[in-house]
Amino acid sequence: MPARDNVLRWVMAGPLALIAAVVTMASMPLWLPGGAAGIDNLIWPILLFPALWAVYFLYALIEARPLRGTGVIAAIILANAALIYSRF
Amino acid sequence: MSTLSLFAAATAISLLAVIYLLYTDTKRTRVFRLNRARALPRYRRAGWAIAFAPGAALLGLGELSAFLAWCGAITVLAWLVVARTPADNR
Amino acid sequence: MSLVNQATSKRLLAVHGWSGVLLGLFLYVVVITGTVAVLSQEIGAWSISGAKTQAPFSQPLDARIRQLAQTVEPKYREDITIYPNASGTILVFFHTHGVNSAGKPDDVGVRFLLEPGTLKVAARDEGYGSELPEDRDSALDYFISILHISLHAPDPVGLYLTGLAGFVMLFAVISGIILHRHLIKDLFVAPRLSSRLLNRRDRHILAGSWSLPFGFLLAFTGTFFSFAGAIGLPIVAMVAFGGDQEKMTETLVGAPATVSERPADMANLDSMIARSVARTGTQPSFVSIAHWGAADSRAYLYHLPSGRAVEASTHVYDMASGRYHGVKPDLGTRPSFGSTVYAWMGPLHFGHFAGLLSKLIWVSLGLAASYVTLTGLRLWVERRPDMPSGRVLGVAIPMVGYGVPIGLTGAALGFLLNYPAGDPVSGTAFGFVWGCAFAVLLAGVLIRRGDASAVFMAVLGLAMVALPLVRLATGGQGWPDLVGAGHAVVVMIDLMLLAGGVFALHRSRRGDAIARSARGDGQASAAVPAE
Repeated sequence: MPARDNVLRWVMAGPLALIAAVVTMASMPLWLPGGAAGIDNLIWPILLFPALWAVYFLYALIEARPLRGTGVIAAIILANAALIYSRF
Repeated sequence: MSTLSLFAAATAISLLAVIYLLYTDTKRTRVFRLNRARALPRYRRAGWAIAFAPGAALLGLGELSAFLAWCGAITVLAWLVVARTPADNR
Repeated sequence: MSLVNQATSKRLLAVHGWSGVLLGLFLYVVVITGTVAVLSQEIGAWSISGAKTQAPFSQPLDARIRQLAQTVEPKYREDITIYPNASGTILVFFHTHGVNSAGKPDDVGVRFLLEPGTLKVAARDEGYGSELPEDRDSALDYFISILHISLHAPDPVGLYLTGLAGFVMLFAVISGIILHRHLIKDLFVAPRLSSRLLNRRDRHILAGSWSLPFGFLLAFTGTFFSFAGAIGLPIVAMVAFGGDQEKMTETLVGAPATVSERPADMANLDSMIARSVARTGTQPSFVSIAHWGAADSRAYLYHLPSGRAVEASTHVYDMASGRYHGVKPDLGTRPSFGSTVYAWMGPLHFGHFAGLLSKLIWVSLGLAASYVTLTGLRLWVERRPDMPSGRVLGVAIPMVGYGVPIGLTGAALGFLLNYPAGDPVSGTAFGFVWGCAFAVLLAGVLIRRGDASAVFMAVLGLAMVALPLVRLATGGQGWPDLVGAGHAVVVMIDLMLLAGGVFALHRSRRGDAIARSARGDGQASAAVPAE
């Protein structure tokens, strides 16, 4: 169904990819190691944010099946959100 | 050698290699129908190796500042050299 | 060699093309202002015809700082930042941390401007850092830098906009690599002249291919810088520090663990600075003192990279004993992988790691990136000459492409005319706006002519050539005096403006290579715009 696929593609590549990048960045301080100075888990999420967004955005465009892609990105969002929620 | 002179030498060597690759490029020759009767011998791999070698040398010597400057300089210079439309040699 | 299937290629090309069309001119503004901003320090010195002192930190600051410290509220002695502006005036900001009227974390305190040479207090302002009046000497270089960083839009909108522009460029590079199936094979093919469309395509692809690594690096680091402040810091602070951005910043920067309120005599700052100069071979660009007057007070002397190093270095001194504590990593209190990578983002983006040489190389890279952006837009127009989007862009490209540089020359003009006696801060801003408005008007007049680009280029050329003359006319020093006083950088900027202006004037008369070759082959052609 091209119309539905189109909508899913836009949603996936647009708001979902960005939200996924933001929540991934947000959850990283909780599971990344602190490193030699104890700050790696704070700076790496910020350093990686452009890459995270680019990867999710690229995936959204490369994924042949929009329904599957939407599911994958939504799962990533939920998993990271759950991780953040569980720490509070 | 100072950082500056290392940078200059590395950039010059790489640029010469790029110019060599330019003159021995088959697609360029074909597309512009250039007269290559007295062409230079084609050693593509050697050409690329010489183009990158100065950068690798700078890295190996720990000259990070010169290496970064070399990356930037050769990017721009190579592009400028390549972008000139070759004279018609028909 | 195709990395992806046809359907994906179509999608990637659509994103590459449409993001370029919708946001390309906007991206161009960010890139071209960034290119100019690489030389903001040199432009600052040029705008006031040279700093009044070449070694601002070798002046007897210690006595003046001690005296001023007694005149401010004790809470403002928590942090002191000391740095020179383009004219060699020293800014001394006694401050603590607070939240400003917009609800954002901000420094609050008293800022003094000290005249070079005499160190007399030229100005004293109190309040939040972001709300203090701008320092008039730096009006032009500050205007250009902020234009690039946030387009002068309010925080955080400006940062979101430039971050978005950076992301568009980043993805354009990534999609460009995937889409260009013969990237290596085409690397040595000069733009062909057989057709206008092919020529446009070749120009864009050749410039894009060669500048790929730097396109990626500049886009990535730029996007990082914009989003770090706008999104990164607040969100990570929310998750890791319950929203306390100040605490997060302190942890990241690596504030020392021990805190002592015990008062102590401060060691001599001048001797500390002299030792740091001797150790690194360069003047510090920035000095920060924490907890002035307390036993745990420390001075942080920030030196730009020198010699083989790419990273800047922060040297720490104990202010009570004067002892040298060594080099502090950018982030944290001990060296770490995260701090090293972070420390590279600045040099990679600003190109200031090897002084003027690297800055000039970075300016060339910025011009190349601007060229890639504009030629991409031209390619879009060429493919759709009859579609509305093609026609609108056809005029918008030279209008913005030349208009922004014309606006920047307007800003410089506004500064030069207002610096002697008026308000250079508003003069610079108005100059920019008038310059851009002129470009828009000119576009309206030229819209039906085929040679819009040539006219714009000529106007830009004239404006650039005029600037050194205006500088002289408004009281700036001539070249012999400048060189004699050690202000060669002012002469350099003058020369760059003159050379660039003459080059633009020359190119504007040269016409179009494709039209010439078409005419040479006996085909008739109307006047066509020069690129």
